[in-house]
Amino acid sequence: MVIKVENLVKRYGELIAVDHLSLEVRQGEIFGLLGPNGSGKTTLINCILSLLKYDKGNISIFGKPMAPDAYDIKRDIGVIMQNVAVFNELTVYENIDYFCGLYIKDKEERKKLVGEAIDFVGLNDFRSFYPKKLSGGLLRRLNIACGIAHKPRLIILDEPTVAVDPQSRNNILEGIVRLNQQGATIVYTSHYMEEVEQICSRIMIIDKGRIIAEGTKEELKSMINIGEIVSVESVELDRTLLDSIGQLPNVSQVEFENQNLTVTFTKGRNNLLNLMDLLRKENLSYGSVYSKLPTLNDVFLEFTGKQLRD
Amino acid sequence: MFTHIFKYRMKCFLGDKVTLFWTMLFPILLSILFLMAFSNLNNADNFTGARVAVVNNDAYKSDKMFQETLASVTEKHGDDAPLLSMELVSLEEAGTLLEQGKVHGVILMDPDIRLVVNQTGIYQSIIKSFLDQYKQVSASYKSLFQTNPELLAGGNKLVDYSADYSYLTEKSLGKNETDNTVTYFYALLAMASLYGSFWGIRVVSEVQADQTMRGARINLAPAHKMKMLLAGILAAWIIQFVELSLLILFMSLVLKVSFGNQVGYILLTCLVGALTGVTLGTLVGGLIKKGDGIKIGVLLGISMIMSGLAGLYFASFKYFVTKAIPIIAYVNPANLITDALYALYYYDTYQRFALNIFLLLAFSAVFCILTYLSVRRDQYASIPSIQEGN
Repeated sequence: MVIKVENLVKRYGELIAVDHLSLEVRQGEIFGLLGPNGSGKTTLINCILSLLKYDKGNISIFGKPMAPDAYDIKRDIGVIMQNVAVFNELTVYENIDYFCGLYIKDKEERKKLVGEAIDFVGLNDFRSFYPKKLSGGLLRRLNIACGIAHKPRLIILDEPTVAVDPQSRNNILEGIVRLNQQGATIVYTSHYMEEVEQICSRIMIIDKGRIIAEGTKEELKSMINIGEIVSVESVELDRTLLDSIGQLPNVSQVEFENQNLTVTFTKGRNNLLNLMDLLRKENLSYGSVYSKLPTLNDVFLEFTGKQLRD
Repeated sequence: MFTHIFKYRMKCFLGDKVTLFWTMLFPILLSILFLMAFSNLNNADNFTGARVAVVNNDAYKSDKMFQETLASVTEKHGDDAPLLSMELVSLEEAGTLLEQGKVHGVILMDPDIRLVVNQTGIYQSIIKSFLDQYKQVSASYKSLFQTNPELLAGGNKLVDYSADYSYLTEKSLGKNETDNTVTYFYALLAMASLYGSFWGIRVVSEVQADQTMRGARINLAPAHKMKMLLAGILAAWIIQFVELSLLILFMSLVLKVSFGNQVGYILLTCLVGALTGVTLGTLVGGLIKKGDGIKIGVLLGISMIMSGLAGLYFASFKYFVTKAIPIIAYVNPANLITDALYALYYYDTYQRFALNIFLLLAFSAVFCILTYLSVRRDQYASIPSIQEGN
C-alpha cells in the first residue's frame, strides 16, 4: 500500500472539512479523487502530506507513519499544487534545478534529471525563459516539472489543469499517464469528471469531507440505476405520445422541452431500438438522436442530488 | 544542500528589482535630496559682505589712512568673505547705485565721514559699525600723536587699537570638527539598514507554507526548515551589506559626507546594521501571519519611527531622546547604528562604538531566536496560500 488513511478528521472551527475519511492508494495505480470545489480534496491532500494539522486519524505512506520530518518518505513524493509555485527571478532551468536540488544532492545526477524533466514536459525551447514570459499552459508544465524532476515514486497532483487551455490539458493528462507507465503511483484530484474518467484506474468521489462512492469507473456507474440517456432533437410530441414513451420498458424518466426529448432508461437491452420503433410507428419526423452512457456526474447526482460542478 | 539553496536565494534576491530599489536606490536618492536641502541651508548662513559705494572725491583721495583701512576690510582672508565689497564711484553714480539697490550704503567724505543709506538692515548696521570703529580709532591715534608728537618720530611700536583680541580658542572634543549635517546622513544610513528588513520578510515568507505557494512546496521537500531559513538570511545579509557599503561609498565620494578614516570599523557597522535589519524583517515576517503588504507597511512604520528617533527628521531629536529617555536610545537599532558611526567620527576611543555594536549584535541574536520560535512549527492549522495561490 502506498498511502493508507484511517478515520481522518480535520476541522476548521465548527466546520468539518474531512469527516472520518479512510482511503487506500495501491502501488502503480492512478487514484482519482473527485469532488466539487470545497469538498475537502485539497485539505485531505494537505493532511496526507503533513502540511496541515488534523484532529484525528492515522496516515501512513510507503508503510511508514507520515510526519513533517519524515524526510525519507518525502524524498519519494512529488507534489504538484493547483497554483503555480515557482520563482519569477529564476529561469525555467533554474527553477527545476532549485526544487530538484532539495531532493538530489549529486550535481551530475541532478543535471541529468532536470534535463529529463524538461524533455518530459516539452519545455526544451524555453529553458532560459523566465516564468513571466511563459503562457499559462507552459507555466503549468513548468510547475509539473518542478514537482517530478527528482523521479518520485508517488506523485500527487492537486487540480493541475485548472484554467489550462485544452491543448495543454491534454499534454498534462498524457504526461500523467506516462509517469504512471514509468512506475509512479499517482493521486489525481480534480472536479473535472471527464479527466478523472479518462486517466484514473480507481476513483473516490467525496463531498463535504465524506466519501460518496469508491471504485473503478465501471463499478461506480454500476452503483446507479441509469443505463443510458437518449436524446431526440426537433420532434413534435403530444401528451398521449409522451405517456406512451413512458410506458416503454426500462424508462425511468421522460423530459420534453423546446422540441427536445430526453428519455432516461434503467439498465436493460434494446432501449434505443424500442424508442425508435415507437417514433417510427407514429410517423414522427425528428432530427438527431444521441445515446450516452451514464457519467460520473450522474453518479454524483444520484448520490447527492446535485451536480458535480455546483 | 546549503550551498545550493544559498546560491538560488542570492539569484532570487538579486532579481528582485522592487526590493533592490527600496533597499539601495531609494536611500541613495534620499541622500541626494538631503545634500540639496543642506547645501541650501548652508548657503543661507553664508555671509557675503556688505556692498558699499565710496565717493571718490578730493577728501577721500587725500585720506590715505582711510583708504588703507578700507583696502584691508575689502580683502579676502582665507575662506572668510571680506567685510565689505567696495566700488569707487562719483557722487552721482553712488546715488544711482543706492537707488537701484546695488549697494547697501554710500560712504561720503566732506570732509567728515558720512554714511548714506536708504533703508535699515543688517548690512547697513555692519557698514555703520565699521565706520564708527574707524572714527573712534582714528580719533584716538590723532589725540595720541597730538599729545605725544615724539611717537611719530621715534619709530616706537604702537598698540594696534583697531585690533580685536580673543583670549579663547575653539577646540573640538574629538578628532573631527563638529558637523551637524552628518547626523542626518548617519540616520539615513540607519534607515537604509532597517530597510534590510524587506529582505527578511521575503526570507521567511518563502519557507512558510501558510504564506506562499513556494513555501508550501519547500515544506514538502526533505530539507530542514532552519537550513532554508539560514541560507536565506545569509544571502539577504550579504546583499544588504553590499548595498549599505555602496551607499556609504556614494555618500563619501560623491556627496562628500565625512565618515572619518576608519574604513574597517565603518564596514563593521554596516555589516552588523545589515544583520539587524534583515533579522528584524524575519521576526516581523514570522510573527505577522498576513500578506506581505501588511508586513511591509508595519516595517516601514517601525523603520521610520526608529530612524526619526535617531535624528532623521531633526538632528537634535536624537540628543533629546538620549538625554530625556535614554532607554529608548539603547533599544532603538537605528539610534545604535547612528551612534556607532558618530562615535567613530568624533571619539578617539572605541568604548562607545563597541557598546553600540554589541547591542546591535544582541538585538540580532534576539530577533533570530524569536524568528526561529515563530516559524519552527512544521504543520499548519490552515494554508490559505494554497487556496489563494499566493
